[in-house]
Amino acid sequence: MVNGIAKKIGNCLYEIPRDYKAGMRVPARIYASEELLNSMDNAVFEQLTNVAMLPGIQSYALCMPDGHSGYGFPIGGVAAIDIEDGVISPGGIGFDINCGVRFFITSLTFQELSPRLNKIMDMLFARIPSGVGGKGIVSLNDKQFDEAMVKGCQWAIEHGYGIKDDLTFCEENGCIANAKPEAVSGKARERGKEQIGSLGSGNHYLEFQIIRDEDILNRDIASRLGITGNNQIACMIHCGSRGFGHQIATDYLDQFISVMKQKYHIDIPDRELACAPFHSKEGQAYFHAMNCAINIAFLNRQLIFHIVRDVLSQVFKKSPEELGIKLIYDVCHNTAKIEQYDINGKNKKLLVHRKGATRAFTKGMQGIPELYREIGQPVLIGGSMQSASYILVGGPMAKEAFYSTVHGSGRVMSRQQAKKRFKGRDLANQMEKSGITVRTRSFSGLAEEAGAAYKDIDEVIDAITRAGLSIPVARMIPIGSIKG
Amino acid sequence: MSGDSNEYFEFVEDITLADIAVHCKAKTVENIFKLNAEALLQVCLEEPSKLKKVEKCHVLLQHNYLDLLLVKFLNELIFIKDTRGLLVYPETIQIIYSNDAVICEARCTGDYITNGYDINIDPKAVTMHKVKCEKINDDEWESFIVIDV
Repeated sequence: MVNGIAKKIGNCLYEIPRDYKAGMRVPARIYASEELLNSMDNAVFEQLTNVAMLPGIQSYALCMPDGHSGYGFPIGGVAAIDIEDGVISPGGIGFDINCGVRFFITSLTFQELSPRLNKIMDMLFARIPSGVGGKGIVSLNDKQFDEAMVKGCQWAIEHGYGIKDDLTFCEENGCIANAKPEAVSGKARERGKEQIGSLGSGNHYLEFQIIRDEDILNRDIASRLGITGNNQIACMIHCGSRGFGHQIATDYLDQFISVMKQKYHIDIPDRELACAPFHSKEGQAYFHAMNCAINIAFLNRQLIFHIVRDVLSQVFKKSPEELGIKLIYDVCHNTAKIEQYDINGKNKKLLVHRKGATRAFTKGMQGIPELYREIGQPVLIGGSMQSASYILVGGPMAKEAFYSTVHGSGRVMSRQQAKKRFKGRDLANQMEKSGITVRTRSFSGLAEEAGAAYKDIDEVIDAITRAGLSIPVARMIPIGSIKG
Repeated sequence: MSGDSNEYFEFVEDITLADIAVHCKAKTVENIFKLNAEALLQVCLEEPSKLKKVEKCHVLLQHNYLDLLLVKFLNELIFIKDTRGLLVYPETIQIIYSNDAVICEARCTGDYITNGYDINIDPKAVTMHKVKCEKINDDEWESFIVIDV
């Protein structure tokens, strides 16, 4: 037993039994090393065992090694819920719907980029809105916004913000089905339409990275992805659906609270886990609105990617093709998606809620680009702004976790603690000295994101590797970070 | 903003690592709403006391539950920030009980984010996680909220 609650049942796998507290429908499982498990705050276990009470939940409520306490679900929480008799819960997805990561590589080397890095960072900082209240790259009228909600990245390509190939290398091809703008409130539209193509703040970032020879961890898969090492330059973009998704979650949580108990007789210990049956009028409306937010987040990352590609072309006076810019993948963190699983011999459609967790399909599966079918879906894991990031692929045991894995390193220190301990300007100087160029709209916001406020990313990656959830391919080192 | 030492808000550690928890005590429910708005402003701005009174706005909301009305009120301030680029604070606020509903009417003042303030972090929403807003004694109210950032 660890923490007197969880029992070790496998390699980097712990279980809290179903009889831990009344109302749990399934056990709770935590993927972690003993050290990572002990570093998790107790609220994680409380929240995860609450998730195990959701109607229709299958097998177990899951928490990934980067898990930390949030609201409703823990961050790093996964729940697969039968759509026939189960619920949909906005708290299991989060306010920043389809917060996610896009990762691309180039044929540039560090030696080629380095003399121009400051100029590139300045140009990007000027062209990509970020920080509190940042307006977006595009301003859409009502009709265009409705189209964008349905088309996601496809809208960007149709309007000259990208190339067709970009769609191939996005989860859901950058456009999820069942997005219905009529389910989106006027407030969400008003809040969202001016923010499309903006980074936001908090832990969102745009980061240039280098891939050194010694950081290639699986040469075969790396070479199939086009990752060569040799101080190769790559770039990672982390952001979501901005105020649009936040408002959709706000609107529907309030709606669900009013019907959950009275209309559907569902009793859950935390109101942030408010839910409604998936097939109910309210459940379907939220599902359709959430899918609109998923598409807007895809579009957001596409627009930012397009600007980065354009800036690199301008600075090097070469086309994106000549610079070897290649989108590797775009993954979602905060979503609920319908996926098919065999549960006790019965084929079921499950709504897999992933909050701060990444889908990790394995080789041979449908739903990933044909080019990756023999290696598995790329999994993109951003570390803190002072530590490495990783690219992995779905691992042999991923099915056990409903094909889910970590999404980052996970916090170990609250934002308030981090702000007390670090000064943003000192941190920026320290990062510059260690070879990471920084641009930020907020130095206090930067202090909250200090590397020491996060778990050791290498330990987190080691835990998912040992648990078989993912296979590490390469490790990337930050050299330039734009923070919101 | 309240100058009474018995009326305060504090950011609470160990509730949620990724987000910001706010505990608040005040003599009246109106001051609870005001102090929570002040806490929200402090999340956004380095020096909220320097916020100028350049623009005015009126907020009128209702909910069946007082605690969820507090959440709705704070989310409305976030909505104003995102749609108008305005950071505002309630100068006057009234909480009125009417049949089954509770009504909040606030007159707010504030300034545009772009007017040279040192910004901190962008709040996404006020959550319902462990939310509380209740009278705990005569002349003593308490609230608890979690802000997703």
